[in-house]
Formats: sequence, structure tokens, C-alpha cells
Amino acid sequence: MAFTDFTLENVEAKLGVTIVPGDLFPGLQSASPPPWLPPLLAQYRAVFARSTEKARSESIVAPILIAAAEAAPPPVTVFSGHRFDVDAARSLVGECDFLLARTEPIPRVKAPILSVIEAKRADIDLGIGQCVAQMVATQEFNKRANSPGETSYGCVTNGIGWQFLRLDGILVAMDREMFVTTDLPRLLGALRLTLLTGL
Amino acid sequence: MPYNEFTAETIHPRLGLTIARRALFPFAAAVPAPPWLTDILARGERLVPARSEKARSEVIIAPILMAAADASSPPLAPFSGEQFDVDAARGLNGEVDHLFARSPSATFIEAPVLAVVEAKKLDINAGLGQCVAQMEAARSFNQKAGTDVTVFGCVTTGELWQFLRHDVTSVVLDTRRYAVQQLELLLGVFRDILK
Repeated sequence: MAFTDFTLENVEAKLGVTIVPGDLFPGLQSASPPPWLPPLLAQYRAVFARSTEKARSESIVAPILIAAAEAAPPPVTVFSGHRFDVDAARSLVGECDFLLARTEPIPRVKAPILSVIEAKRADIDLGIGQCVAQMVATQEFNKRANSPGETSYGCVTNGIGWQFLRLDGILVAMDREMFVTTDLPRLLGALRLTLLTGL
Repeated sequence: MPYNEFTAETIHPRLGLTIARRALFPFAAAVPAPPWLTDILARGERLVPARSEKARSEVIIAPILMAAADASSPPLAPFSGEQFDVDAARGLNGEVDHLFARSPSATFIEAPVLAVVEAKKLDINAGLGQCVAQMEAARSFNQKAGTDVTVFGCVTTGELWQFLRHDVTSVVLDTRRYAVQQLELLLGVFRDILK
């Protein structure tokens, strides 16, 4: 078993966490998109056939995460398609779609903060279980590295909506607000807060 | 047997195509890169360790193909990660990393398919067989639709780009490989291919 085998139905029992609704970003402040991002997204929207998960990651998710990483206090690195094997006994192994970490951009993961999952078949709920599993793996990874923080973030996106989750201890808070790509300033504001307060 | 099971060695016995090597684009001229392209390439280089094939596609290959598609006239739909099942009996089925088609809808692949692009993490040679099989599929797909255009292919690691051309009974490998640093020339080659 690996990250992709977890579902919303089995993840609580398998990993001993509880999922509750929550307000993750009270008093959220919007963040202006960097000048390069809107024209790039518009360009992609105009010509790109975006019916597959791969196309959505290339044309929407990756550029937005790069913008968020660029705006955060350095160092922040975006790992894409990276192996993240943390605990095989608990099936916390596999490839992460995206993993944002507070580290220099060299190809080994350190200080992971935020796991971003591209929803399969564009259905966000189908990605929640996998996302929670990766957040637990992130927490475990940081604990072993003697990192002081206990908070890890997750986000599931289908390229249109962005569902954020936060793990503290054994409690997973699932944000009541669904962020959307069409409201970039709020989405970037939420991403900024995860990168500032995670770990 | 899908595309990814073809190798350079099985192309001739399975598809009857010979492989030659010639200079394909001796007259390619530089095409200026749009600012958004150089912006994303620079940021990808700084913030994303491009080790996986997925990362390379996101921060190098897809942006370049997008710029290539946009510069062609009329603009082409670049597809990414689509299933392209053409002739299962000949093994011409499976997913294609990137594909350019003149599809007005930009939602499903319509003929003519002009070029296919195969991304490889490390080794261009390891992708040649697969790319040729996809080019053969594109040609067959176009013929069934009653269109006859020259189909090009490309195998890329992101850093290096190897082009190929389907010449009906043979496939020609370009003698030259382009580096991503020669961005404007690379866009010039795509302009020749996609016109």
C-alpha cells in the first residue's frame, strides 16, 4: 500500500487521525499575484487543451505553486513528482504530486510543509485520503528530524478549486472555504499563510 | 504492446521503417521568446529541482511547447498526457506525453496531428523507439482522416531536444541536438515544424 491507496473512508481508521471542519485562515489577507503569473495563465488558458491531470498540473497548478514559493521568505523549494518514503509499515510511501519545503532547491527533501495533490478524475473528495496520508508522513518526517513544529498542511486541487487541510497532532482540520483559481489573490494569500505557519 | 514498449531496435521489424540521419532544419531562424516564457523558465530553474519527468515537463517542456503553439499560425492545440489509441493490432496505442494537433475544439484530438513529443528523464536514446511509434500512429491517424501532412517527432529531456521527421518509409533523425539554452533557435525549429 502507498499514499494513493488511502481514501476519505479509510484514512481515519488506518492512521488514527480525526477529520473535522475548520476555519484555517481567519483574517486572511489577499496577496497580489506576481506580474508574470496572470499573462502566463491567460496564455495557457487560451491555447492549452487541459483535459488531463498532467495538462492541469503543467498549465495551472505548477505555475501557481511556483508563484507562492517565490513570494515566501526563502528558502522554499517546490518538489514535483518526488519520492517521499517515510514509513513503509504504515504505508506512508510513494510519489508526491507536489511537496513544498523550507529548504534549498537540491534534490533531497528536507523540512516539508505543504503537500499538494492533483485530484484524480477532477474530483477533489477522491484526493482527500491521499492528502491526509501525506500530511501525516510530513509530520512524521519532521518529528524524526527533531523539527520543533507539528503543523503540516495539505491541499487538494482539480485546477479549479483548492481544498486546504491542516494537521495538528492527530486532528485534521478541513477548511470550510474552498479557494478558487479565478480568485488568485485569495488563493495566493492562503498559500502564503501555509508557507509562513507550517512546520 | 503500447508505445512505450517500442525500442529503436524494434522499429524496423515491427513497423517496417528504416532510420536515417540528416540535417533537418538547416535554415531554422531564431524566434524571440515571449517574456512569460523566460519568466517561468527562470523561476523553475530557481525553485524546482527538475529531477523527475513530471517536474521537467512542468517547468521546461510544457512552457516551451506552449510558446511554440502560440507562435504558430493558426494557433495549434498542444495536448498533454492524452490517450492516443490508433491501431492496437500494431501496438500503436497508449499515452502520448505531448502532441500538437490542429484541433479547433482543443478538447479532443482531431487530424491533422503535426508532431508528438516524448519526455525522458535522462536518456534521449531510450525514447527514440517510442517516439517513432507515436509518429507512425499520428501518420496513420491522419491518413484515416484523409489528411496527409509530414509528421515530426521530438524526444527531450528538457535540456536537450532531438527532432525526427517521418518520411513515409523511413524516419530521419536530425544530426543536431538543440540545447534549451538555444531557446530562440528551438522556437524557430518548432515554427518550421508547425507551419
